[in-house]
This record gives sequence, C-alpha cells and structure tokens, in this order.
Amino acid sequence: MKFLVVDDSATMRRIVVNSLQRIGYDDCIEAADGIEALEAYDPSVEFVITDWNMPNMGGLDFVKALRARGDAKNVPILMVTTRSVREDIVSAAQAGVNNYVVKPFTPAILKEKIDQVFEAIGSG
Amino acid sequence: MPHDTEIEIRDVLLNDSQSTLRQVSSVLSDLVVTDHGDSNLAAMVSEIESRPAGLAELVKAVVATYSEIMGVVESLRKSRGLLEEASMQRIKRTGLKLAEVSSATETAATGMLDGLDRALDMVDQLDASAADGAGGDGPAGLRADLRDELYQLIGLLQFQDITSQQLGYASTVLSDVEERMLRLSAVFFPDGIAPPELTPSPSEAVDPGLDPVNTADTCDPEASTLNSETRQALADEIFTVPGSA
Repeated sequence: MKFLVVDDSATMRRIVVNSLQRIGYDDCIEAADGIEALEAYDPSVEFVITDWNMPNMGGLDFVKALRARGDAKNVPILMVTTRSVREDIVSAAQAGVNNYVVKPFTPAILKEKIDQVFEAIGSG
Repeated sequence: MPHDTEIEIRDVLLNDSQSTLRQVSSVLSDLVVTDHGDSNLAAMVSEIESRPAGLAELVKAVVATYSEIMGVVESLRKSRGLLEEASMQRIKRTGLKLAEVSSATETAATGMLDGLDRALDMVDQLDASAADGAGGDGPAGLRADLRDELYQLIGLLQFQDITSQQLGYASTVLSDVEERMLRLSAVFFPDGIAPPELTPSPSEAVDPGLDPVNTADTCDPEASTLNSETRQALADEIFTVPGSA
C-alpha cells in the first residue's frame, strides 16, 4: 500500500514514515506542503497523511483541492496535526478528511486511526 | 524601549511645560482683561507696550516655554530613536534567533533519528541471529522491549515540530509588536529619521542565511505537547459520533 506523507517538518515526515514502517506499511512518498503534495499525488497513492499548518498551501486547502480532483475523490485522508480546537476538527471533517490524529501521537494511535478508516470504507 | 530615567526626565519636562504654559495663559489673561474696548490689534499692541513689566514677563515666559518644548521634542526624538532601535533591529534579530533555535532543534532531531535507525537495524540483526539459532528465547523478549523503547523515542521527537510551531508563534507576536511600535513612532515624527546602526554583540549574531521562520500559516498558536489524549478524544468524538461535525 502506497502512502503520501505531507508535512513541512522533515522530522515529522520521518516520524510518520517510521511509524508507518513500524505498523507494516513500507511504501511512502513525501511532500513538504500542499502544492508539492498535489504534484506528487497520482492514483497509485492509496492513502494520504497530511499535516495542517504548512507554507504555500496548508493541509486544509490541500484536502479541498485533492477532493476536487477526479482521481482523488475517494482516497483515504488522515489529518495529523497539532490543531485540536473543535472548530478546526469540524472544518477538517467537512473538507473531506476521513480521520484525525492529534500530535504528539504514538504508532499505536496512528495504526488505530488508519484501521478505522479502512473499516469505514470497507477495504481494510 | 526608553529607559526609566528618560521617562522621568520627559515627565518632568512635560510638567514644567504645563506649568509654564499656565503662567503664559495667566499673563495673557492679565493683558487681555484690560479695558481696551475692541479687538483693534494696534490698540492691543499699544496697550502691551505701555505695560513693559508685563511684556517682559510674557517674553520671558514664552522663551522659557519654547526652550522647554524643544527639550520635550528632543526627548521625544530620542524616544523615537529608541523605539526604532528596538523595533527595527532587536526584534528582527530576536525573530532570526528563534529561526536559529528551530533550525538547531531540527538538526539535532535528525541526528537522533539517524542514530535510532541504526540501533533498530542492530536489533533486527539480533533477531536474525536468534532465528539462526545463535541465541535463546530469553533475549527475544528483551529485544522486543528494546525495539518498543526505541520507537517510543522516535515518537518523542515530535517535540521538534511542536516547539518549532510555538517559537513560530512567538515570532509572529514579535513582528506584530514591531509593526505597532513603528506606527507609534510615526505618530511622533512622520517625516522619519533613520535609526542609529547598532553593532550586534557576539551573543546577538545570527546566521544571515536563515529566514525568519513561521508565518501564521505555518504555526499553530495552540500547539502543545501536553494533554494529547484529551485533545485526541475530542477529535475521536467528532469523527466517530454521527452528526458531531
């Protein structure tokens, strides 16, 4: 399964990729902001994990832009972010995010949320 | 920022000027309250000239007032210089310092991740050796514990991203303060006077290659390493309870 990991922090990208490897997902590509991610995305990507606060194009705008594309309407998206105000979380849900992880997280939480997404879309 | 002594001097000058202006007002009142009957300026001047003691008193008061007002103006000019010095240089430098902190923590975190990756590879090699029969079952549990511990350490390094956002927020606050101070400064001296160039001390020197980090878009003012379970619970509630969003 191919993951696209989007975060402006190189450290966070490595932590997410490490965590994914820990739970059995080894195929990851990375992007540092929403614009890079839109360029990097192709239909071979089966799961997107994105931060919210990023330069150039933030996570929320990236999700909206991705959902507007014909080839990404149904790709699962997990938002991994420090933002934890109710209004923000609701905005993410309304934009098309499938699940939400608050930083700092553990590999166990990441796995739980990914599994929940697969269960919800029936392809786990 | 103005020093306390400069603020005191300015306050004293303002008080003295106020006092002198009251004296001027009083003298003018004394002069005007004469019975010259109409607003004829020539008659008024003539009247003043006919009262040499009052005129001298007035001139003396005006000169004193002028002198004191110039003192206040000079004091304000110095205050503006201090404001500009603080806003244009110290605050910008502070922003760059914050960028340096962010960069340093990123570098340190990357180095630690490299080390942890190498350690995990070694654990994997131990596993392989054990599978070949080189070790017993006992060390396997220990290796598993070690692996978990190392992964937890990787997770702890999320502090870098979070503190970076916190520093970024502080930087945006400083930028806001800078803008407000410049606007305040412009009120006093709209024509503008170049602030003095300062030579930074070695402790204030920053890497010129660094950009001021984090705009409002790249940092979350609420970013925190604390209470993540509580905050995750709120997200879970919204994403799992129908109608929460």
